[in-house]
Amino acid sequence: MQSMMGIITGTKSEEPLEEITQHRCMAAVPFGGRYRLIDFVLSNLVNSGIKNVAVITSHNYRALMDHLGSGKEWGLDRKSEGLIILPSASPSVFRRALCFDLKDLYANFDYLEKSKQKYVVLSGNNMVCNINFKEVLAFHQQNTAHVTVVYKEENYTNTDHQDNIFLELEDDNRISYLKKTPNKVGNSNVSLDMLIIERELLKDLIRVALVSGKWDLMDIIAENISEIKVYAYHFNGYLGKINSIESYYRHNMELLNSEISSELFFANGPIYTKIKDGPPARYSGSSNVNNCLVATGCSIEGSVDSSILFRGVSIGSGASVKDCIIMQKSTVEDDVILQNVILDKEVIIRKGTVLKGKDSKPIIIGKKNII
Amino acid sequence: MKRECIAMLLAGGQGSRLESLTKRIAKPAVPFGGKYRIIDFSLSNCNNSGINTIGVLTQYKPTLLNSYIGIGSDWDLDVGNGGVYILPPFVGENGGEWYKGTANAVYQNMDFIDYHDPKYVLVISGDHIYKMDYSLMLEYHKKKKAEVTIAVIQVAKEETGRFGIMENDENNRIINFKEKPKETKSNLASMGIYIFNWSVLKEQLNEDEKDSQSEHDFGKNVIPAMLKEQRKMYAYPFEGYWKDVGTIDSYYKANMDLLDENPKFNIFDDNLKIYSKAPFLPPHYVGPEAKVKRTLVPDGCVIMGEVENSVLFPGVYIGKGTRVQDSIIMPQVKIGDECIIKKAIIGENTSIESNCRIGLDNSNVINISDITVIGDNLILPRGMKINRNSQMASWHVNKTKIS
Repeated sequence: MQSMMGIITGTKSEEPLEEITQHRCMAAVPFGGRYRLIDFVLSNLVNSGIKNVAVITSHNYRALMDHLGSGKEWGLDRKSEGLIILPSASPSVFRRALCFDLKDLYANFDYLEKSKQKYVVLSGNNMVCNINFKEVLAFHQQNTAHVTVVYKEENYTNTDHQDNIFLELEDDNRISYLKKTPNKVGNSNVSLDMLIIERELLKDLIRVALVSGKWDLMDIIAENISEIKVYAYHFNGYLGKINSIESYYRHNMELLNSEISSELFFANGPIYTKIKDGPPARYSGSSNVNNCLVATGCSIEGSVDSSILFRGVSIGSGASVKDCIIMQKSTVEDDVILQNVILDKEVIIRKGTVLKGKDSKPIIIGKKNII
Repeated sequence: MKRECIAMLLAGGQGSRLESLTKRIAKPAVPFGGKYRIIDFSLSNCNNSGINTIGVLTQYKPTLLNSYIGIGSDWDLDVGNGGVYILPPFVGENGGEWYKGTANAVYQNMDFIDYHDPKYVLVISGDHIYKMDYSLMLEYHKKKKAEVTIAVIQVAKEETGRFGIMENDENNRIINFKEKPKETKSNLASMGIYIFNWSVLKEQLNEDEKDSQSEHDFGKNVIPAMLKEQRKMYAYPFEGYWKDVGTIDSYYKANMDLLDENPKFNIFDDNLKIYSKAPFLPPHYVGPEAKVKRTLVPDGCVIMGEVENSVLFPGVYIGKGTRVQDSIIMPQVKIGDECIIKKAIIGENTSIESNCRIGLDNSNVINISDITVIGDNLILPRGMKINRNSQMASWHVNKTKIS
């Protein structure tokens, strides 16, 4: 019997990814050539021995449901437990404000009651990392904590921090204070939107929320920080937190660094994803490819440099693609020049077109556009 | 459990002419085309034809094949009302015996077929590279009211000596059959794909079993015996790509055919898709100084050097300054820096340390089949030279360092 179960919640805000999240929820955003964002946290849960996983969805979830299916690729198509999709309590609210909205858990209280595991891993869905929750649990048990929040030290001088929760720590890593703005310039301890909590305590806090009308789990924890023993687990691996076009673009490009990609894809087990049975990628005699991540089913005749090609992308002869992210089944015809461009799925760029964005602001072409 | 048609897939052959490639694994488990194994084609054809009950007859070194097939889920064959059944030889109260031939293998599993109670039995082998919709052949079989239908393909006149050759009348009824004839008027070769009425096949298998002279082989014994009895036997003409990759030469050539701009065998076409068991690996990475031309590359490869005119399999690593040409590099092969590899087949999980030279030598004599074959699970130490047209195999399960 496993001692942990997992619940993957929505993200706080989906507006920052613009066109990319117009047709899909954050969890289903394509990433790294063949993955979707949810693959990382879901694989981390499975690789940590967790076999009871719930995914909360609120809107735009067709792509996500299609991707997850029965959970077969993650080994979660099981007779008992496995993968369950939980509808959100407020499906009509398109732009959500809370990461851990207890309303969603209250709406699915039966699921929490029926589950048998002692601990719940609660996690957002936009963290690209390879983390072992068994280690987090060991830390949690060692401290006899009520709640353990996973964090990482990050430098927050320039980055937009409105979505983050910052932690003040005592010497033994017990959290003394949780807040939404950093109080100093420089390194801050930032929550990864991942925590471990005892299932019974989570149920109690949902009852508290029901009485008080305050549904944000992190608010409740912050308000009761002196009564609840909350510890912080330091994650020192690679983290890609996807909360803006800038971070989406940057963290994709970081996969071209082999140290980062080998940690992310192999450290505590593989990252699972939906299998599509595409043929191997095909390079023609005229292709010229450097520093690229290329998925199956691609067909390359032109030049591609420092880019990410998803499954089934085709690059025509004489085309020149640099610093781009090109999603599944998009076609770049002959003699096209692309630089700093993100093409969503099934886009066609007609012969001879030139598109040049900036490193800081890539051009985004929405799904199924023809240009 | 009445079924219209079930398949019996012959996967027990050694494929001894593939030499080093089948030292540890059966021929159907040999990797092909960048991410497949040879048996993927038959299993995918079954799924694409709506046949979901398949008995896979295994005998020769089946460990990898068994674990690869599993419950058939990678070919969508793990269905409630059918499935893939691995059928090795077994013992009964009077002892047991090995499969003596293709027909005997099916004979020994008559209980399995009776259990599924089909009207028709499709007999195929796991040795061939082709895409085919068997349901069209079954329609043809029913339309002809045949007792057995044999798929045939036109082969070049000079190749007829390698195949079982059919002679048909104008209605495609088979009137003569010669196994590997020296001379023949026809050029229609049997593809080793048969649809039998189960009642007829059962009778024939029982008779064949009684014949002590028989080699218990479909091509050599069962089909000629049925012809003698003037059974209703029809040829089903197949047009398309079909290759028996039974030798190193034909295996090499069939892989290289996939690199053509318009390949004769199109794995890139979604029509009759080929499924396989894919490891969960990230997309492949092509390094800053790499050159990749005319090559197939699947997931999980890392290419830092140069690769031309080659087929790579999942998880291959090619080091800096290394040049790979005209080669087939199987799954999980690691090649160090500054190596040169020419016209070679490198077996699964073999490691080649830096500065090795494979497939080169000083001689000016070039044979047609100058293919160098390095077997599975070997470690070639730094600086090793292996001349053109050599073969090197391993019988060990664990990795073995060559000295």
